[in-house]
Amino acid sequence: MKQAEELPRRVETVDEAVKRYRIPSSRSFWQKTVNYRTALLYLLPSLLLFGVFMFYPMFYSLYLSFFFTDAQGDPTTFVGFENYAYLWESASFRRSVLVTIIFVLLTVPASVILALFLALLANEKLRGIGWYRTIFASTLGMSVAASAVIWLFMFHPTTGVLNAALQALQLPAVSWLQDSTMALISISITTIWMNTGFSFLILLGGLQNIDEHLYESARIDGAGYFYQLRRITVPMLSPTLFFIITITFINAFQSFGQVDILTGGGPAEATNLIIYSIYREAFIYYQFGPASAMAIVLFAAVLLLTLLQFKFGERKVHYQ
Amino acid sequence: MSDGQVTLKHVTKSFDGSQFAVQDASVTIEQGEFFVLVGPSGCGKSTMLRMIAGLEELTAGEIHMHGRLSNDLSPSKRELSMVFQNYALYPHLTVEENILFGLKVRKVSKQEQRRRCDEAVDMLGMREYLKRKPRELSGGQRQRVALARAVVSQMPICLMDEPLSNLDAKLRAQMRTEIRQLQQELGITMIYVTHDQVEAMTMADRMMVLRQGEVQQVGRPLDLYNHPANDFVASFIGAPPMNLTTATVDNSGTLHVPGAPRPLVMDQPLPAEQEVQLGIRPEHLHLEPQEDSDWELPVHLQTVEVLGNETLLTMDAGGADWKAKIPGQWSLEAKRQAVLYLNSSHLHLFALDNGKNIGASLSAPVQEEVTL
Repeated sequence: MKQAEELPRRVETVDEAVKRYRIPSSRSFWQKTVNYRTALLYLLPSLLLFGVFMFYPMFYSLYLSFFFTDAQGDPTTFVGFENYAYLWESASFRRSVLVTIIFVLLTVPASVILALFLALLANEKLRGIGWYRTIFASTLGMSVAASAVIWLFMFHPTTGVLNAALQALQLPAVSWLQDSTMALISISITTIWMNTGFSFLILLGGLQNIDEHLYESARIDGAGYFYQLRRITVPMLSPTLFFIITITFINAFQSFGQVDILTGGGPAEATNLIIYSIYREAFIYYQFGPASAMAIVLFAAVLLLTLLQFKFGERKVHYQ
Repeated sequence: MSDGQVTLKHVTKSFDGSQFAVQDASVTIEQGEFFVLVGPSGCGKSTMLRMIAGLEELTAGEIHMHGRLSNDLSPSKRELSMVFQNYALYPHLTVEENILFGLKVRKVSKQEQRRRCDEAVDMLGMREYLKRKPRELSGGQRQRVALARAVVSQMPICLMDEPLSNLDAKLRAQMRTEIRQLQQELGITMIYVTHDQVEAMTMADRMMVLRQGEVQQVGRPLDLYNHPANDFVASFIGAPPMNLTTATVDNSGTLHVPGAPRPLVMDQPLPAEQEVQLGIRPEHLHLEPQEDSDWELPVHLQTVEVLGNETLLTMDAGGADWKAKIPGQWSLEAKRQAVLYLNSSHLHLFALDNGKNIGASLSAPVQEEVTL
């Protein structure tokens, strides 16, 4: 019988292997970097678009925020932090900040909870559930302007369907957009409604990704619906929820269309969100300097809050 | 005491109202028994298990658990634990929390939780992994967590749905033994679903072979192996499967096998001019005459695989593809003629139409030595 071949002595360390057996690569630097160059080529279109429409305006805003400008928006005098100081002094801006915070607090939790509730309903396996899924997701396909106009009609004090409904229930009519307290609530309702479609769709996708066996296992253990919801669904959905909360949060800071169409920031600046006051400052009063400063402040605030959210919120997120 | 006993009576399931997923299955699984449901994918074995678990409703029939009619009992009231194919571990919980999940739901006292967890963890050697998340575990470790979950529940019945199919071959063999030992230590009733006949053969006290929702045969593994009820069981159990070929019964009741020089005689008469299936296990074929060999079949060898301790031959036996498993190392040339020797009492006869085992025993008439 033939014996198995005896192996020659092996190298003992990586260093030794490198020293003894490594041969120089025959590829040139140009050949070695071919992957990076290809990657760059694919990135180029988006880099170009982002550069022209995102990064350039961002840095230009930062630049403008240190200047006085003329009516065309060209910088005239360098004023340092004067524009920021002006904001700090401005009662109107402080009011905007407060209104924005209230608006965010009104819309973000309500949007997420409503969307989660609808997603849980639509995730049940029932006949015709596809129909409901479509309906619940439908606000995703509506433009801000169209949604706002629909709500404008519904909020109308005399001919609107909301007051008609209240009247039918023998309740007093509400001046939805004219009352300074109600106006912000009305805008929030519209925003929540608009947010629902997207959040619903994403959350439903998240729910459908949860392994059915987890629930079956819990059922065998005897866990009830709400126990399962609390101990399985919400933790399993936490990455999706975190994403939705972050997106809704950033969107809330950027809500412009519905304010413009429904109230125009009024009555008496009651719905003058920061983003809307930026618009007014820049394109109605032609104060590009302070407007840019506001934009920078808003950007910094959103960035900071989002980072905080990642730092503290993400601890509760269970990525798989 | 009927604790841990499961009885199925005419259990039937149909998802669409026209086709059977499970068709009229009846069996009594005794307390402490390791019962395996086995069959190819889509045969209804998982559906049957899920009906026992209460995760799926019965279309017709009765399920009795612990001696009580349990058709409408919710899963948690059936006093059973279940191990899923993908283990169904909660990814956001640590191993310990996973193990204790069911006990928390059932409001078992903290002390008792601790005690049972310790016991299960020691039994399965999981102590160092308690604080880890499932994603940090290997397949085999996850499997153990799933087992530990079943152990701490202390339920008299444990259901397992293909628990080993996600493991590699070596680990699977090891876990087979472990699960079997665990079941015996705990003395629980195990109902185990698998598509792997090796698992069924090695683990089961009794097994049920299913095919397209129909029960083919129920019995002890060796009984099924030695006395398959039909050609399906014959070819499903055993690796390589039983060799089958078509043979003809002539007017005088003797059996003619294509390619065979000598006919076979049956101990019971069959209607003449009928075709039947003749079956033989690969290990009952030999390349050299044995002491008890009384029949031979010339074949054409196709391939020869030497596996170290045995040699696997594939061949053309009168038009049918056969395999032979021969002990030892044989360096044979493929693509040539050979003669297989066998003992005719190892042959099985199956009806051609419904595949049922005819139950006839065969013998080879003594003849002058035939030179081939």
